[in-house]
Amino acid sequence: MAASSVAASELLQNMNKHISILYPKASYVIRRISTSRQRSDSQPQLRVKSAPQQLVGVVGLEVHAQINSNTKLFSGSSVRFSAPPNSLVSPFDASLPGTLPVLNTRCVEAAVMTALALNCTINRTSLFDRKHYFYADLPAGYQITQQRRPIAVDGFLDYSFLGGKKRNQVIKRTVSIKQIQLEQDSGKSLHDNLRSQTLIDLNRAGVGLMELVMEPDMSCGEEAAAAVGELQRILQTLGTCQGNMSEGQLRVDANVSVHEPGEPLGIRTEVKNINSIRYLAKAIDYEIQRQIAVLQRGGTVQSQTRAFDSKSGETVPMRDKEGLQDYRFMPEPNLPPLIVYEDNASLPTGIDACQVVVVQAIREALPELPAVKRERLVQTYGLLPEHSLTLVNEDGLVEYFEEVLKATKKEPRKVIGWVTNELVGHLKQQDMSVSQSPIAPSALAELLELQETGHISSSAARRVFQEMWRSPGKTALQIIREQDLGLVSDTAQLHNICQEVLDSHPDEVNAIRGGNKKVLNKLMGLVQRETKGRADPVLVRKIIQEKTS
Amino acid sequence: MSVPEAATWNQYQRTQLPPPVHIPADLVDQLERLALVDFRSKQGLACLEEAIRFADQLHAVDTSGVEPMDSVLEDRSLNLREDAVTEGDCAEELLELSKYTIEEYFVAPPGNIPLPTREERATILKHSEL
Repeated sequence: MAASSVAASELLQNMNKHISILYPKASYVIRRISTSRQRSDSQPQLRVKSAPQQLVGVVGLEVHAQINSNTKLFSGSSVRFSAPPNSLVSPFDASLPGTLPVLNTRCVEAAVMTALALNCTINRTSLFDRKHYFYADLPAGYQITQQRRPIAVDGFLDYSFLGGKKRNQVIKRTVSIKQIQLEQDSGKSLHDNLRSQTLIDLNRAGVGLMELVMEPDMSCGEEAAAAVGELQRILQTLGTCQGNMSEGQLRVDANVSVHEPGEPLGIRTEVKNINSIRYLAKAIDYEIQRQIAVLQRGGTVQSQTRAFDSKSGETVPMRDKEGLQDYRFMPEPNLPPLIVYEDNASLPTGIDACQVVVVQAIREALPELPAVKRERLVQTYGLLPEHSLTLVNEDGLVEYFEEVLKATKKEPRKVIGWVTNELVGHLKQQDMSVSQSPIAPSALAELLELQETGHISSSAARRVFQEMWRSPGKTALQIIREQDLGLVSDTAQLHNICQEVLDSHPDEVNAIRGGNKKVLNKLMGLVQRETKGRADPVLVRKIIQEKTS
Repeated sequence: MSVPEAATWNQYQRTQLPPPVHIPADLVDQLERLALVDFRSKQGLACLEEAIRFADQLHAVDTSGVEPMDSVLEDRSLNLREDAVTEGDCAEELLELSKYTIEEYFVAPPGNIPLPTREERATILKHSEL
């Protein structure tokens, strides 16, 4: 015990030292974790606070989606990913005096469309507010957002992922969406630590964002990743956001805490700087484990903002975020309330059509959402839910699958395995997308036709597939000819080979005659070995059965 | 809209107002940090408290059943703009406004420089000529 408390106090000292180096203005240090041993020696047993049992994670997400529009939310400057610094900036974006915000119709439509796809209630009237904080990339000193009454509230997002032991069970979940609001993006800061300065590019300042606030309905990184993946797909299908996380079009911050089920929620930390869905899952799982470890040591979780370091896979406390911020929210005085109309009938008379956003029209123009598409594929092609999940989740896979179907008479149910297992398996191994596949749909269709018509066996077909992958451009027929993988069609030859195998394995023959049918498979395997996998299994089975009856 | 013949507002006695608010030093410090406004001396603080006292007159008005107004534009319609590019592309003009720029970027300090604490500021001011 003595040794461990020495180690503990050394650890505390080190941590305190690091904290004062990294955060010279920090107003807290870690206090000694007191145990009864230190308080008095009269108690021989160490009365540590009972270790929390079964701590589970609680995850809520804040998603900022950059609206896919030509111009910014409140000004007519262009929205583009890369452009010369400060070239996409208007006087309003630079917050020069005398400029006023003018709301972009497309942004409102995008928000309404997204809200409808996420089953939200659209607020007929919504208001704009100012959120004040000082930072160099926010020239006005405030951000125009919708804190009091956002454009949409109370929605939900259904998502699913493959779970279970073999990862082939579709597990369905729902996450509630608290609200969707329109707000401005800030500019970009490039930190130059060498010269102790920050370079500011305002091209991004004023771009329209949809902030989606999700309730803490998730419990781990996998669920969060699946939810964000589905959200990404929905936004891309709607066209309201291109959803590219690495380009910053979709930004996700995770609020993570742990608690015992049934107990009140624990202290949460905010995790930022997550650039991909994979990192999102990693960051959340790391943070949950970190908090559990802190609590199991008897400590308390600090409410703080942490950044995810992709290199180490850990979250680290962020500097420059002191204490609880007071944003001094106030109504935006330059903008009247935003009114969206339910349908054409409710429009006030004489109003200009370009000046209104009508929810009914947007609802009617909604494209086919991923969930509906999955269901349609299941119905049309008789697929299993897990297959259609994979099909829709991989970019371009549905089109590939349908191309293959066009060129082969094989049933969709027999083709799907090749697409979701063989093709996707190989793609994932080399981190490739469907568009980069070395095997074209027509080539795969050709291979499947050859297998269907009995030219090659299934196992040979798989070998041909791998060879086609390695040498793109070679057709299936070429490879079959080169490697002599064609099915042995000479029945006489097959009979001879079977006879040889049976003659050299009299024990097995007797076992079969005695009723043990499983041994038949072993003999079949031997025949296949002899023929290098080119024997038609059905025929071989028949021959062996005949010969052993 | 008709203009009334005689003044219609009331002058409220100090006694009708709620008790005066005293602002603790910590709150002053927080306000100074948030708004980057310097109240400087006791006089500045007294000025603030007077201003609050003046605004307290609003509490004497009976507003039951009245919807709060947060914008004088509340009965105007919000002007919507078509999503077409009409401005931007004036980097040169904007950068001219800043004394110090680097290669078409504005330059800022490395992060928010935290405001010195009250005691530190008092020391700084004592030594400076203000």
